[in-house]
Amino acid sequence: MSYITLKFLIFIVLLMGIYYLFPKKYKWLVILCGSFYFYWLLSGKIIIFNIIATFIAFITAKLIEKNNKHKKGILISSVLLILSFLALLKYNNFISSILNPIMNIFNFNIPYKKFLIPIGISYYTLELISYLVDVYRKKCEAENNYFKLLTFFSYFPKLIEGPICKYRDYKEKMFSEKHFDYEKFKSAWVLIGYGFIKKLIIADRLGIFVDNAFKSNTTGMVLIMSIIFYTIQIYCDFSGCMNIVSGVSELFGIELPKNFRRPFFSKSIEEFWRRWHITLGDWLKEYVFYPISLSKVNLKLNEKVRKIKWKHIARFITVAFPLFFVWFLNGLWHGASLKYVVYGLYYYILMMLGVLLKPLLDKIVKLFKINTKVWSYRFFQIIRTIIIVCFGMFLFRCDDLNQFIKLSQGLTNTFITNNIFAFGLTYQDFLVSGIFIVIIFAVELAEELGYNVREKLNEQNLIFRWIVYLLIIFSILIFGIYGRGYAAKSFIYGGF
Amino acid sequence: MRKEIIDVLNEVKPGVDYENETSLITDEIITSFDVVMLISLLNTKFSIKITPMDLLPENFESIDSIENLINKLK
Repeated sequence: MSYITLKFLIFIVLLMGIYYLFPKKYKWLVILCGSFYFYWLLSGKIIIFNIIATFIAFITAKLIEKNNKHKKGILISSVLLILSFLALLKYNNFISSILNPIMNIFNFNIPYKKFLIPIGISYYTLELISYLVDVYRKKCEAENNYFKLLTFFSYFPKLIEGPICKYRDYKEKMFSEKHFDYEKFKSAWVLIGYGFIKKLIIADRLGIFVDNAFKSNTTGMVLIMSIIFYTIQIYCDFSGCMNIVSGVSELFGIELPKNFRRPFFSKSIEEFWRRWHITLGDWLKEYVFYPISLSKVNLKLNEKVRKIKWKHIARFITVAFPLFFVWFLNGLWHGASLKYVVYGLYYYILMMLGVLLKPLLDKIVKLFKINTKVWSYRFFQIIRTIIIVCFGMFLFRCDDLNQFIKLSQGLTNTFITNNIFAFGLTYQDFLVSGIFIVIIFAVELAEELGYNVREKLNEQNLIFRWIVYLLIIFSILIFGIYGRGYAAKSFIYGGF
Repeated sequence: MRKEIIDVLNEVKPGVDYENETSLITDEIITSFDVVMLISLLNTKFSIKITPMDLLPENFESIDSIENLINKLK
């Protein structure tokens, strides 16, 4: 049962009904049962991994809290155990392909076995680690009720694609008293509808063109078009899913953290990654970047480099070490292949170059008297960021590095134009995509300028609001990509 | 102590009115890169040890909050 099916909508309406009728103290049990029903339909018996991993976290958190002397050892062991599930199920092929050339020298071979990957394992593994580390750091108390912990780590709206939540922030929200709020109910459905528009009208439509273009190893203008389309597709797919899951969660009175903040208005790639997949960035910052930055090794290094005359070189050296791990893990988290590692390191290299070249760039700006506060300069910065991101998405979309290298050579053939209607989209499809992309852009521009679109919609008169609601519903029904001959594409980030 | 903290902040990122800023982290005036440099300098200057457990945004939002953190760790 995917998020974008009628079955799922019926499921949440029924679950909502039961939820608000249930006694306040036990509403969370409805969430737990609903989550496991949803999880069972998606994954069957392999939900056992989520149950076991949560149980390990439950027991070890209690041990960490009670046992101050050995808590570091308990934390490390439990994190490694939980990570071993992920390593075995998702990364065993990647690990064996890296290690086997060395193992073969000693006549050993790590066998490769393809396992069914439990839905959401990449997401709830990070959440489990954050829970254990927070208990260790005393930022969170160990939960006494295993089933409450299980409710959080199997919570169905965030199961497939996140957002990655921290138990310490959500414990109160998840288990506190909830009352039905009609205004929030309406607003939540608008958000769900918005997500459906992004996913079914834009992402799945452009995905047809992108899939066909990449399958045929196209070149020239069509390749450039498909890279741009893919960037739009993945944004609409992922952020659309986030709109749907946030809206669904709001129906139950639980507000999930934002995972996107209009990333294509970013003026630098650092800003882009503070606005794209925000919860993953926050997790890597809190549990990888800061611990490594504040490690004895890095602090000692920092003390030594501060004596260097050039401050930006000192800064470069200080952040290069922890940031390498952040971007390596960012890439690896997305997938078990070298392509994803290179994807992560692409951003690492760009950021490090930015730090290193900053004084030179500042000198150029001063020399040519470039005004960096005007809108035209900001527009240039935004376009520059989009180009860098599109190139990264090009790598991300390729099947592997071989295809990336092969297709990159075709990028320079910009004057070769294939028939753009030979890749599965008609003139009407381009028109529909274009119109809805403009609508999404307008909504995001309004939000960027500080205008809360949903709030403003709620303030309007009944007739206007219902016109908008009906437009959303009919747009999805008429222009959504489904029906005979199509299967709604599964969410891209659900594959991680 | 306030003057010493401002000197450290200016070493990390000059050109900010630290006396009057109260949302250094929330408004992204100081980034996570800056925080790493800041912590290293504060540790050395004030002979304290800031650990990941102290890395809460509210501890670095303003001069006042940084001063409170230093006093807590001394």
